[in-house]
Amino acid sequence: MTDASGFGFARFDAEADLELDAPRQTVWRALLGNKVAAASGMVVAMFVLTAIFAPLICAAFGVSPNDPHTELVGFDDQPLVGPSLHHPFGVAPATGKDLFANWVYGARYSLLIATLAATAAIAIGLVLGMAAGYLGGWVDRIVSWLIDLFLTMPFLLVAAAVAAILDATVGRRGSGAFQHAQFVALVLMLAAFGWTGMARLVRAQVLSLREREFVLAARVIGCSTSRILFRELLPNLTVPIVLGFSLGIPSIVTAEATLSLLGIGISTLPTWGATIRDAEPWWRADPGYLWQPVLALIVLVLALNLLGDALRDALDPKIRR
Amino acid sequence: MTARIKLTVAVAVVGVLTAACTASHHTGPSVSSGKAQVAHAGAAGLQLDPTARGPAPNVPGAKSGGTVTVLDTASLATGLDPANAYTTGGDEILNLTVRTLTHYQRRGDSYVLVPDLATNLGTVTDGGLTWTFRLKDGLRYEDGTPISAADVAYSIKRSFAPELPGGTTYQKEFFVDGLKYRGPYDDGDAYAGVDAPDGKTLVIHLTKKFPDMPYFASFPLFSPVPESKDNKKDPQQYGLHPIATGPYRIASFKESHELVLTRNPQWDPGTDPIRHQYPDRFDFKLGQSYLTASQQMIEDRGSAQTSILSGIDAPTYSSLMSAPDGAQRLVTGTEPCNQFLYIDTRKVPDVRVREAIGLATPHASVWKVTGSVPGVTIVPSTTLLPPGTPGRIDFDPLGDGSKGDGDPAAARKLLVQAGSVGFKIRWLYASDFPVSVNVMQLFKKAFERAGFTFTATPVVAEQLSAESNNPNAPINLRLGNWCSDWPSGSSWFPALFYGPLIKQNPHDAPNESFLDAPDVDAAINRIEATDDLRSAAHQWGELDKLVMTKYYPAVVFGSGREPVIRGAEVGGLHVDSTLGEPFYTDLYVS
Repeated sequence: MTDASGFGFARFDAEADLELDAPRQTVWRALLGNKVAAASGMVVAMFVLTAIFAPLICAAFGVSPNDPHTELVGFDDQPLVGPSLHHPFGVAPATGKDLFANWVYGARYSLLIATLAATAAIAIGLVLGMAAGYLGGWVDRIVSWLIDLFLTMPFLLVAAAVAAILDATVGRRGSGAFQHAQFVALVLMLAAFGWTGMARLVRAQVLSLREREFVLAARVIGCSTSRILFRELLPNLTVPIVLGFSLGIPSIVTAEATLSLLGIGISTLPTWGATIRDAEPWWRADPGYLWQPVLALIVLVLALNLLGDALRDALDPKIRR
Repeated sequence: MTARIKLTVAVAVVGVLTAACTASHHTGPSVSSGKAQVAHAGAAGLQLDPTARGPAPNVPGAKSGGTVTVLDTASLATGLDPANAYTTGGDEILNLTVRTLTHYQRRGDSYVLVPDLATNLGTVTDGGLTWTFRLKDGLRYEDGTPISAADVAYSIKRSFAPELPGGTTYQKEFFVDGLKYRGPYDDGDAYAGVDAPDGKTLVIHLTKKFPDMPYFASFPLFSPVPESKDNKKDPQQYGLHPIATGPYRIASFKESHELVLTRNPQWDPGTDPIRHQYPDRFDFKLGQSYLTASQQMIEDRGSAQTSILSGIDAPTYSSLMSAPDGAQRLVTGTEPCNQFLYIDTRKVPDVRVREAIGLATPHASVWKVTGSVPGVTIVPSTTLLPPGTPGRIDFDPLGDGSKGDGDPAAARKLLVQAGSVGFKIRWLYASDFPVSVNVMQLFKKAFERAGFTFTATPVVAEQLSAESNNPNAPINLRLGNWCSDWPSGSSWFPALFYGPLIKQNPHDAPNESFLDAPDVDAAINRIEATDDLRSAAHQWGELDKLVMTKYYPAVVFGSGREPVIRGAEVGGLHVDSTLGEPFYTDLYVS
């Protein structure tokens, strides 16, 4: 969480040439030839499929999240049943909720929130970065100032403040809208702190691109600014966009889990961070409860990062590590 | 009546389910462990002994010396001022440093009200309106100056001061001019309610009869406070160093951090039938994290061996029981508290529907989900009065013993009889507190199985207690926890099920069942005016049975118990059942 602002984007070399030099086939070949990339790709694909088909998977096992089965725990709150076909990961202490269902839905919420937040962050970063880089002048100064402003704001502090404000406004009214408000606020907050790196990167790219012949040519023949931005410049920003996703998502997954762990995320959904928080007092008596979400987080984030690194290497063979 | 506040881990967990949150009415010598062996001292069943004399009987095996460390999750941020002390934790600490007119002596598992500073439990004259206490000879403060009755009178006057808020309110309700007098800082020393005609005699004048006065006289405000030590410009200063009259005095006190007590050489054990002075020092580590403190206690190494920690949650209980001597290091005792599910009788007027709610309640599941451990933090109870209250009749209105996971078939049968199948339960929960969410899901499942429909309103945790306390909230069930101030029905029915409370509190719900039954109100008025405490106790027991069988205004979840973990070298640990706190004064280091 030290890299909370700007999330994973800081790992780009801003000076690096991020144009798509290699043709698509070369990229695919480079990726498939890399064993680490192939393996992490498969791991990520499995998590994504789990997330997409969470309701079906749970139905197949006959389990559902948030369904208490206190008959499955003893009066010392310890589960009476271990992992079995009915409960592949066992049940939670105290409530007897199925841990497999919680885990599967944890993957769903983690990836959903991360995808939405990364998309929003990239969209914001792209638009502002392009505007700053291409238009320059006062637009550039304002955007650069905004980037600096967001980079100075402490992420956790702001997140806690936003959560408190939501509690005091939407939460106080006691309506069902609270959960939706929390979800939207979480995604927006993660996006708000994720766009700065993307914007810087895009701005630097566009600064160099706008002096290139094809842009000059387009300007000379009288193309509108928006046409130049979206038809001429955008296709040349594929690399930062792709890398923004692949390196931004794992950071956001971690950030979301951290917030849930601290109780300032979404309070009612079985996210991995929330499960870690619930499992914390049980680390000695029931260690499996804690390890399931922790291992999932480690494996998913590691796989996403390795895949992102491999993608970066494949897209830009000039970078030698 | 406000509430003596109880802050422990177990209650913090329950606090989520309870709307009354951590605040709870407190005290009262209830009796022993679950299978009550009542000490028949003084009036039978009442546990009063006006003849007890010092010194206190020795604790078998006790040794002198050493330091007892108390790991305390509370912070004592409000200090230790006798004038407004009203937390169970603070009152138990004050019992080491200040003596009161009366107090409770441990006899086995029972706690018996005995004279402490006074020579007896008070003499009542003037048709019940004047109470006279005479102080013992040879009582001294920690600096050696003698204690005078005028100092006790001054302490009582301080309890009226708005500068020292949050204390008991009985003195305002029952003492002459109690509602008018605003303490010695605003209104000066002239107050007609208390009088010290000579250095040894204290007279209290009442506006109405208060047969429970001897119990009330055990509260810290009935300890002496020398006027010369009180900072009249800043009265709250006194709470940082209340002058000691008990076996220990305050050596240092940093709020929210640490309180160190050392021996008080001026304390005379010959005059004190209650307290001992075994350890050299008590070290209260305040504001501890329960997670960290409980790990230290489970591991039991170094200073943890001479420490104690109150409260236990289910994970800690599991870990402790699997430690080699864990079972021997857990001591539990009675707490004079009951957990209720109040049914709003305005909105659920048919008593058959209310009983169906009781029959559908999944007691065992609620205990599991809230981290309660049966027999350790809670015992099943079916009556409004908790076990150990004098006069209590043990009966079971629904025949389910308040345990098990509810009887949906029987509940449905009652609903069919009442023509109310599909009756709508309206529930309130904190959507940002996992335990509250789990409890809601549990009740939803149980009630729907029994033929109710169920809707739940979410609020944030910090709003839960305010919304539950709102008489107009769109709910018809309320969770709550109540502890008595002393062992009598007078600490329960007038505060919880008295009809006039509804009109008196248009913005508040002290009577959370909104029970407005003329026969119950008449009984409460009659019993409160009964001078004979023994007869009153008997009548409260009868009223308990009447209310539960005729009106069924609340589901009883169970009665609280207080668990305390001790280090291997701590001896003499018992739970003070009048407060549900460790009885510090019997502790020793072996």
